[in-house]
Amino acid sequence: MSVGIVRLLNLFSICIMCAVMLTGCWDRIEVNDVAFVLGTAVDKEGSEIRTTVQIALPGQLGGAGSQGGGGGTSGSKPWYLESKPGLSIRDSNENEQFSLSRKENYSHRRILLFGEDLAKDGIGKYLDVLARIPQNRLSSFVLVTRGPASKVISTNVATEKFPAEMIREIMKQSMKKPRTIKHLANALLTEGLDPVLPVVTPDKSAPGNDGPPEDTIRLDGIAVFNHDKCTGFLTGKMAQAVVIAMNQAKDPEIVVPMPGDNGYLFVRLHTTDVSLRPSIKGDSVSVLIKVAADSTILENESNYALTSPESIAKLERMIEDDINSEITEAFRKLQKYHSDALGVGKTIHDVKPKEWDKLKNRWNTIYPSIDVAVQTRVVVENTGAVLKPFARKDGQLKYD
Amino acid sequence: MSYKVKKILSSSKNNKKQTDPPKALLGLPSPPILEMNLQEDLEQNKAALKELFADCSDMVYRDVNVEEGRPAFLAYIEGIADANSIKDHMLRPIIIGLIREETEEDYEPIDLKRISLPQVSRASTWKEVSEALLSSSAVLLVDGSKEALSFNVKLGVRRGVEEPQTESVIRGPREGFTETLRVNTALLRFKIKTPSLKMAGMVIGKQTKTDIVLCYIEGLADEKIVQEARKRLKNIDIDGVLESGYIEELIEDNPYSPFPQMQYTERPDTVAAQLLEGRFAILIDGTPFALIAPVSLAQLLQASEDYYERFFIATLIRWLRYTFILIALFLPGLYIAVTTFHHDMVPTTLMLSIAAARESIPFPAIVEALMMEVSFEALREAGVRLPKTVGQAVSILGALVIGQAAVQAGIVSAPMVIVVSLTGIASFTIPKFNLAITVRMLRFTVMILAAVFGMFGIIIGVIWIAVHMVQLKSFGVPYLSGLTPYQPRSFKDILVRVPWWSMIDRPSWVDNDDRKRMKEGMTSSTKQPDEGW
Repeated sequence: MSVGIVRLLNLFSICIMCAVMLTGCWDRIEVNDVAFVLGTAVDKEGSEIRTTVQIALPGQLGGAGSQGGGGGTSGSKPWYLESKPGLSIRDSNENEQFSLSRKENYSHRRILLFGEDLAKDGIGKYLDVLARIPQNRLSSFVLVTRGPASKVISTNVATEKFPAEMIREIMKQSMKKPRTIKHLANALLTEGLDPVLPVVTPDKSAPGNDGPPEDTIRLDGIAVFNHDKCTGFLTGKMAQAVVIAMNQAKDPEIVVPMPGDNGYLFVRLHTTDVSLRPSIKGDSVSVLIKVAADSTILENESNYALTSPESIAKLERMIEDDINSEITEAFRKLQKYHSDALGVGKTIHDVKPKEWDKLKNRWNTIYPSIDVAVQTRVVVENTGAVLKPFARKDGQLKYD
Repeated sequence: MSYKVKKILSSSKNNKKQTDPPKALLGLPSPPILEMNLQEDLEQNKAALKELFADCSDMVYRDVNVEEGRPAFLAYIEGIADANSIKDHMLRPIIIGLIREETEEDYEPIDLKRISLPQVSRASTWKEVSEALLSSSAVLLVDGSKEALSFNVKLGVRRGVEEPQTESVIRGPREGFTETLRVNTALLRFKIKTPSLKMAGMVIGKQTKTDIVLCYIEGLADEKIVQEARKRLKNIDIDGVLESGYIEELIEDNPYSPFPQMQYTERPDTVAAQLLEGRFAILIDGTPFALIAPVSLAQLLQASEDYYERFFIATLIRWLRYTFILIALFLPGLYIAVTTFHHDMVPTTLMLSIAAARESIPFPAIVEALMMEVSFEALREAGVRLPKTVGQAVSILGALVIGQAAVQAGIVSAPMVIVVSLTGIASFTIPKFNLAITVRMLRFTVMILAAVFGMFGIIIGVIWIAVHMVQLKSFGVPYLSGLTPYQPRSFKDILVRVPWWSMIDRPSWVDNDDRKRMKEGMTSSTKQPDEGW
């Protein structure tokens, strides 16, 4: 290595130092200058919207190093809500920034809540900012709330540190693939498919005699959309049936009333598979929903002993009938709400593209009147650890 | 050099051909006596020798009479020559007169064939005489002879063979090289008993005259590489060689590379293993460290025990090392980049706990990291230089001050302490200390790059290091040989350590005919049941 190269290196390092030190492009942000937004609630407020952001307060988290420095009132919440109205999500976030000493950072936002009113007006136009700024993650879960979203996000839950965390964990149980912003955008862009979003609502726990009830958040069915407008809410068994038919149900549990009014039997469908078979004759469209499921018996209150293959087969038929009727009923509801949540149109588009070309402009009017048939095949794979009902004398059991 | 001796010496006729001026070597004029021949007159020789070794209190001179009262003069250096050997094999036979040659025509005062010492030679110049004296010989000057007799009475061992301090193993030989070259060559000879094990000797160092041995196995080592090594060693012109480091820096391919291009070891078994893989080794007198070349990065991440333990654990440990060298190099940089630029790269809960820990820290992450890393390096340096008993105090102090007090005082965050200590542990998993030094140095570069440019800086650092390693060569062999140039066959000793019975080929970089290390099918599972049972 000669003097020349050393001089070159010196020159190079001087250039680097100048570029780094003098230009002021120093975009370093220390962690203690960042406000981590954990969740955003978007609500309608007159002609404007209002966003409420939930910001983590690391100083209240009780980290090992922060014992000395905290200084806040002890026992206070580790989160903080900032809410401002604005013309758009970005605008209201900007308004919030004026009253925040730390820079808002959206990369750890896990949930995005749309209030009921806003969802009914349509959510399509709010999605742009979520993709345009990379800090916003497309993998955030997106939900609709019953009532204003800000009320849900401000619920002081007991089981998690942050309400946003609570909602996220609930969401994980809601579907096989919990709906994210990506899924939402995908459903909006796909022909013949309407989005479905889970619904959460504030709730009270333990309304018993011991002490005051605590605030909590409850998963409360699904919101069904016609394109980007929420047209209705489904709860309970209806919601579950839609989710099963969407092939998104995560270990759904079916209650089967046993004949003779002597109790219920609970099964978990641990694997489900759904396929749609549309058939088109002229203008009349019908769809066959085929459901295949393997199930596990979780609880048998009745006195039926499930010891023989015949009795299991009989049980399977009962479960199948139950699912068939529920899905049929739920599909009628979807038709009423003009929401093609299962993607019947998409299936026609996929398997019969030519017919779809003829139908697609009128799909919105055809859809509410199409025929549906459900064909379910359930296999009881696992009866649990016991075959006969547990702790019952043999004489009480029914063996057919 | 006094005028008188010059005059004595210049009276000799033989000196006429030795008239070329004394060469100046590194600014030190060599004494003119060294350029001259011995005289017949003993008194002159005596004076010359005493002048040559003036002010050398360790010189021992002894007047003796050999046969028929002929005066003679014995000289040796006390301490490096064995006084017992001199007494038994020289003084006694000479004085008693056992060694006279009785032939008529060629009268010799001493018959070398009757000296009961293995190495005896003649010296006719003062240069030879001084070299003989300095390499532990006793020199006998006899009146009337223009030749001195030198008797090698080297004292055997300076330090016994002990367990190597720097590379200890759980399973494996416990012997290590010593400071004595011949002990070291012997340790190798004990292990490799073939005349193909060559030990080319040379002397380097105008003042130190250090013996150096270039070891290789003929037929296994690449002839071109050995020639290159020989050439580079020959080119060395230095006044002294005190440690293998002198030689390493003088003959390595890229002296400005942070990466070591030679391996050093204290273990004869490591040297033997590398010789068997076709590498060469350089043993240097006066140091227990042998140099091995050519090396590759993968080789520097191997420990001798990899080959002594069974292959499952050897493979797992190798992967552990690969993981931890990356941690040692990049973890502080990644931590800085993530906490100052890329807050989105960490899972939320982890980010929040880092944020919680950093909440009241007054410094930016880079300052915090540099503070911790520098004090860690200082602690380590202090621990290395101090006597063992004081070293413990240092480590307690370090653990208390840095580990606890700094965190409790809110000067340093707890995650940073974890990062720094994990990095420290990680750098200790690198089996070769010289590679660990490289990683330590590059870590700081990566940290600064990360602090300035974030993840882009780290990627720049990675590219920089990768490009450098790709073009780096050790004695013509690519530093990443095995990985690039891509040779799937060498993965058997890089990605995994396959069992010995399937390590049939020698490493592929070495160019020789003897490709097979062993017979195929040596595992007992492929043997017929009636074969060995």
